[in-house]
Amino acid sequence: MSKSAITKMTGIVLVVVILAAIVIGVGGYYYVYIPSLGKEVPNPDTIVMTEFGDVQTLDPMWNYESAGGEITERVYEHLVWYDGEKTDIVPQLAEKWEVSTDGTVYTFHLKNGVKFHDGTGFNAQAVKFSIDSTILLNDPEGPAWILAQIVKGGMRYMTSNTYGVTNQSEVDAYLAEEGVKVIDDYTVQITLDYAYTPFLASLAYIPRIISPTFVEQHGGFKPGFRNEYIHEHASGTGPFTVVEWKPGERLVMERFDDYWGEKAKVKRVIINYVNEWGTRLLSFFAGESDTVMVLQANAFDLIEKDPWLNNRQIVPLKKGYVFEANPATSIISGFLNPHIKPFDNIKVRLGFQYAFNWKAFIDQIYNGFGEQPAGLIPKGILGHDDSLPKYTYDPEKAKQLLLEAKKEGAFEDGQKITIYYNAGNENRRLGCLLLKDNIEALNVGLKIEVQELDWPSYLAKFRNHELPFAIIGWIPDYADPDNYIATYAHSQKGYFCQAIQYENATIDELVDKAALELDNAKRVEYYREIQMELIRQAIYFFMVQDLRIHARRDWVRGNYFNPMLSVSINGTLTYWTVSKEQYTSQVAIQIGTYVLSTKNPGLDIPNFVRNAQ
Amino acid sequence: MREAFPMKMKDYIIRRLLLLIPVLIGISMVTFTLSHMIGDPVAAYLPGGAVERIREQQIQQIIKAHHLDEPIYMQYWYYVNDIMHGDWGVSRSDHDRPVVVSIQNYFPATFELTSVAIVVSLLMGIPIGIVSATKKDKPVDHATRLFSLTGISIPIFWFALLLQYLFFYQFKINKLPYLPLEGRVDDFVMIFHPLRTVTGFYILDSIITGNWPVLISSVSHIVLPGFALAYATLALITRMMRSSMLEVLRQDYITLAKSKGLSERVVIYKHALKNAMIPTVTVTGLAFGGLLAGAVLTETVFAWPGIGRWATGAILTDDIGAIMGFTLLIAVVYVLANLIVDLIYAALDPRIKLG
Repeated sequence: MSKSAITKMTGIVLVVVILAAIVIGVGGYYYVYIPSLGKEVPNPDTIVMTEFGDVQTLDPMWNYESAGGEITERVYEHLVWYDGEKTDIVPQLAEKWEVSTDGTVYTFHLKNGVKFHDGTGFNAQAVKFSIDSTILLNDPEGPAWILAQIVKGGMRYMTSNTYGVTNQSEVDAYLAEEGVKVIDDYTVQITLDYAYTPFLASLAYIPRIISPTFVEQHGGFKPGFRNEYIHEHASGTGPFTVVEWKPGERLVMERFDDYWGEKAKVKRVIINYVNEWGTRLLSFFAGESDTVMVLQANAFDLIEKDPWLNNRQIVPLKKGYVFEANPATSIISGFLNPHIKPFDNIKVRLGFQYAFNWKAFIDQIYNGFGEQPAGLIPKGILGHDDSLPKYTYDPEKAKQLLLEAKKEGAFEDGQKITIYYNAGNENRRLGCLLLKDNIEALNVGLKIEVQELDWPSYLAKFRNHELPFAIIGWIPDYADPDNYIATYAHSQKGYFCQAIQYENATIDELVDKAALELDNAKRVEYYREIQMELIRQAIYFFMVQDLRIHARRDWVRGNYFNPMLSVSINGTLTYWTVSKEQYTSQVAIQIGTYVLSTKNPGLDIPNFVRNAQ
Repeated sequence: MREAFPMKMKDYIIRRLLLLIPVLIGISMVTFTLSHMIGDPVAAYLPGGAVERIREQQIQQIIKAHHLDEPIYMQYWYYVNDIMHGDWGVSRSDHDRPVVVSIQNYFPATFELTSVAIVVSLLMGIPIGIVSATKKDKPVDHATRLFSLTGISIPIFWFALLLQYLFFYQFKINKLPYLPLEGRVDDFVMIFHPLRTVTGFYILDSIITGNWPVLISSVSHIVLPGFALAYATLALITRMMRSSMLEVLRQDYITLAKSKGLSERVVIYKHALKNAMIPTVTVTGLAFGGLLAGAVLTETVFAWPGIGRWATGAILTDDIGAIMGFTLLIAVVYVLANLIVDLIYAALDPRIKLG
């Protein structure tokens, strides 16, 4: 055969192959998978959640972010947990407990007959192993510090050891302290360095109880070093097991049929990681995902803009899904550094507080998904006080205060202050620009320059106390007011406090007292005093308690919101309680004004549903 | 008849491959220095955005572990030393996995997608370019030129979203057979028919392991992203083919062949095509390298787990290990692509002497 004939034939064959591939792909797909179009509810025994971002790790001693947290909070379990939608603490793996009178010794009586996913039995040894390993791992990226700061011997170990090194004598010293002691198979005793009331609340987050046999059979535990196997594989006591994790792609969980408690209603959970909003939206509308993660910027692709911004009214754009906005316990704030001029002058600080357009910040930067908080402790946490005063947007007052300060020599005419934000953080950028606009509109002779810094440089300035103003965020690790108050108010223990080197001896004392106080009523009094002082000092702007957006197809039933859960923070589903079914009867239409309140318990339909007729 | 691998060609290949070494050294030095000069290198090892959780002790730990207090040339030396021992470091932005593992996971996905895109571009671009050239200024020519102009002008992410909207969403809600939205393969297919990975190319692996559901699913998943990626390159190849074909058709030897009475088809395919291919081959080689490195927009829209997505995430978070690994990998890819292009030249045109 001639050369050109061969070439021609090859060309034709190639084209035929490609076409065949397309036909097979499309046709085969249609033939095999389209049948699910005929069903009312796609894949009724599987929940599909499509999310933004990615899991960092499944390791229960290391995980400290909410994508992985979605998995670890229910594949693993804890001694205590949250009561449904409330942040109150109730038993989980511990049935009951006693606290010694001085508040330093907790004795937990554990559930019998609980199995790990690997078939071994849960007992006190497992609890001891989980706590000790978490502390001995000392992972700087993880939540170990929450335990180490309070369990006997933990603080000493944490401060004298680095991750990546096994210091056997220190390990032995920690173990010798017996901060965690096995009394018998189902009784474990934890001794604290001092009486720390929030300890119980922190147990709902960490430790996550892992099967010691599982760890030992896959590389064992070495203090100071992460175990690579549990990074990607899990064995807890929870209602779901992890079947597959392909980082960046998908994660698959299956129902654990030997679960000790109420078994999950669905057999399988698939989580897809898709960063592109357009793709997530199409997946949601087409019914391929039961829920998708919705960021605040995307909200108006699902609901109408004006009803929400003007009246906080939720009007969905299409039928077939439910849209909710629930208050998280995270807050966005700003700080003014009292060591950097002119913020050493309290009138300047007060002026800035009144100059700031609080409503615009929420409406324009958060698309209205937030509320200006009263004080520092957010709604939903003990110590929240709606009666605390809030600064209002009052340009007149601001101008007056700033001019007075100017007379006192706080700043000069034409003085320039440079404020920074980290590159990529759009909210912070806009917040800084808003402040700039607000201040310069007052015409008091102050100029504000807003500068972008790349993340490492921003971090360097933050560490060196060089930021005169910054917008900061805080999500609590455990549902206790101390987690907020200490962070913002305690000069030795507070990250933000240290960033601006704010020292107030009275506040420090109050913070310490409140942390040791067992009587809730007294604690609330202390926290009110502390918050009042912070407000008076005008060091912090308490800008937003944000709302988490949640969207789900209306065939999903049984979802609930708890601000401490990762699934709630991310706006996905409490997959361990949900099921999928079509509504069989008419659903009452309730479109009302959004009100910052908790849902009516016992009602399966959410507050805002447009009738799917 | 030429021998299959003349000595000269073997020497040439070896010489070109050896040149890889200075290239890699130069690139790695520049990239290493740049990525360490940005702000505080400590931050590269900390979880982003979590400035609130950072404690002084953690920072000291990191500095010690990564020799950040030593001069930059020492740090570079440690890095090179590690590479020589097979330790390419760890990708902070990819769950702290070793960079080698990240590459193993993401590179095949991009390579598979890019290969499909290039094959489609060539299969469609070359014939269209030829037709366009031979029927110059006729309606067919205008149509194909419009087609290729659109391809170069359309923003690829918009085109990708459009494809999804039409072929997935509109088709699905109108109860027509539809193409998948995202990913390399259907979740349920993978769960019920797990794929044993051999090469990392799902299509190849499913054929090798006889896993027909996965074969069907992965082929159908590659259609839309492959086409989205192909369109721009297709446009390029069409134009290149057209212009070089026009150039060649004007040459004397073509006129001679025609005057000898040879048919149009023989003239085009036997005489003109080989020469016209040369610029197209260059473009294809470069396009392939470019696609491998930068298919990030397509990968993001289709949630395709490839290296473009990984590399972009690494750059945005100053993930030094990943940046270095990715840069070195792409440098190797480009050098090899160029080498292959040059070898193809020599095969196409006996007048071209290598070296």
